[in-house]
Amino acid sequence: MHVERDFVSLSGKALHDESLGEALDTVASVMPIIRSQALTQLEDFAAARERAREVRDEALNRLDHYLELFEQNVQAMGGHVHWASDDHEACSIVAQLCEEADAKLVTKSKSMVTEEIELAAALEQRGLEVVETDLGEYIIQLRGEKPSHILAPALHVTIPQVIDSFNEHHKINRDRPLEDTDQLLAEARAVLREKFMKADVGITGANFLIAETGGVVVVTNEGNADLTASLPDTHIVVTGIEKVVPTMDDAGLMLRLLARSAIGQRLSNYTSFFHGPRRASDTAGPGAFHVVLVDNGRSNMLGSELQDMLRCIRCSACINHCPVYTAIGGHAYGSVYPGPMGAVLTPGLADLDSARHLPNASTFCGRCEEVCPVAIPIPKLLRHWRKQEFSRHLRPRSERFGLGAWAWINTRPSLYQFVQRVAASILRRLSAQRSDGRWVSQLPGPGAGWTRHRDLQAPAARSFQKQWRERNSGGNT
Amino acid sequence: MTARDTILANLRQRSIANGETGFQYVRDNFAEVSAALPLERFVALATAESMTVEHLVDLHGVPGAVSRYLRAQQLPEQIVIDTSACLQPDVFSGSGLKVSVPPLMPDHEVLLSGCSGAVAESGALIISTGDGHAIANDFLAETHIVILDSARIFETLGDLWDSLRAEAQGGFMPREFCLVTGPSRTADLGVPAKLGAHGPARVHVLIINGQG
Repeated sequence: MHVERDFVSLSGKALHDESLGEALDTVASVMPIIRSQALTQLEDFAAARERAREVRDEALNRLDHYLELFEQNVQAMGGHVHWASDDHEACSIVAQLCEEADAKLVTKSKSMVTEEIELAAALEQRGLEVVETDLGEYIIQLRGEKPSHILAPALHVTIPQVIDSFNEHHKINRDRPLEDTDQLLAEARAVLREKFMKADVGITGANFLIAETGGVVVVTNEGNADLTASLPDTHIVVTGIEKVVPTMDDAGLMLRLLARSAIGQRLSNYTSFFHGPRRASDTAGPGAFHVVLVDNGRSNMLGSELQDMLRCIRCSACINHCPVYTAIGGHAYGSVYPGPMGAVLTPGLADLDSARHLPNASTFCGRCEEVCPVAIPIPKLLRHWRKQEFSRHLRPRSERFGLGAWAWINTRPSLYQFVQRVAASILRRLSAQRSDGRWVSQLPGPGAGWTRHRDLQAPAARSFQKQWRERNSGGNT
Repeated sequence: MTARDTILANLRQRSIANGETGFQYVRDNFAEVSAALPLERFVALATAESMTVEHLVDLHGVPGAVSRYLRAQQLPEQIVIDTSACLQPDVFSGSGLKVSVPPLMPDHEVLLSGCSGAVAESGALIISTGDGHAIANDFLAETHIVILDSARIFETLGDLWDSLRAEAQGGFMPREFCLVTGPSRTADLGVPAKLGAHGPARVHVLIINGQG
């Protein structure tokens, strides 16, 4: 899995992008409200969440069993299941299936796993035309970009930019009116409709796989996954091995929590369940049905502290509630999985060396864990990566020295108190009295960055420990 | 070793509870609770998500209801009818409606079809393959008029799963079924979401044996 390594410069650039800032402000102000309103519809969200956690743990604790059961059920309906250890293998399998279908045009509905394995690029390299059919994915495909949000991939794109992209890529009369979103939607519908009708292969992801029935569940609001799956003669599902749930009842609970957590709806507009290829009684539908199960680092997370992350159902609630994501957006993370879930998942699926900044892109406010519908302890998992980063000597020498010195001083109480007294005294000397207390407006040396955009409140004249001692010696408790 | 063998071997080595087989069926008891009757509940939620509904006593009322709806929407009185509507095209003779039955429909058309039922809890119609129903048409139409039998409104998703298990033909689920909560929509061009992204921009439900 590819990760851009320059998080620091990308996030700095993102902070100065005004239109991105506006889009992210909308996410931060709207999404938490619609999510919490939708969850109050459930009588007992806490109990539903606990059951959802159990369902996902049950599936992960016996993943081999449920995947084999799923496979048997798909095969019984005439479908095929393929297993891919990594991204290259997954792309080769799909390319081979496209070749067998004698395909020239492939339609795709949005799938984060296909983004992770860079499937579209791999198929294009083999001469296939690949068209993304989710409108947001289509827009960023035209722009040659990666998604900036797992549900709203074109969140960062403005309407004038969409108009420019359509003008550049659609071979339609340039004088046509193309100014408002109604016209944009009508044009996208017409262009993509033609692709849907002509496609030889349709590729979708899966939100869930149901072991009990061999069912593949895909949710969309646009209905593009259904057209992608139903019109071509071959339907290929590409998904991660962790997506399986045991039963339909389990899937039902997940779907309730997914749609509410993601978009504040009771269910997504279209929740589709696919079961194998066309049957004798069908007048239409795909003649071939394939499921490609992708590992790509997931099985190595099983049985470790990171297993909890495999519960993730990609609702994006953690992303929408993250003060870091809603300040810098998705591209800064340099991974197709941004925000808190991405900061845990990316080092697991790629490697910690290239993704080492991501677990540090957190304030540890804990909202991600609080809103997670499957109770993933994201801050704990971020700490896991930070510890790994330190112990594997991935942090710069200066940071390691600083942290080492901090730990050394903190484990020696007398020394700690001495250093604290000296530091407090220096800070108070650097500070000036204002109506609201003493403030340091300019720190020297490495501290200058801190005070460039804000002031630092000066420490109290008497430390907490000193005051505590005085209270106790005075007879107060 | 194949990739399948390698992955499964790795999973078995790392899984906490490997070796056990079978299912533990736990009935889904987390449906949204409501005192309202399933029909009322479905109508309230479906209309809140931009569907429209009309209650009819029986199928005889369908041609008239379709004409009224199309006139109100200022759409041409021309429809495509799917076999799942359980209506023969001759039912429409004398209605003034132009009726056709193509296998796959072009854009900007009105489709009249049946459905397998609805889920009250979710305000969702259930559309499904089977009996020759070309489900792709349900996603291709610009206007979708759906006939719903009020006796097929399930209170919760759990009730739907029970029914699907009981009705499974040869032990299999329908090839495709889809829970539809409203017209096709997208928020990729900003908020508020726009209707008619790829599929129907209008979904009108004719509820049979309703309140008349």
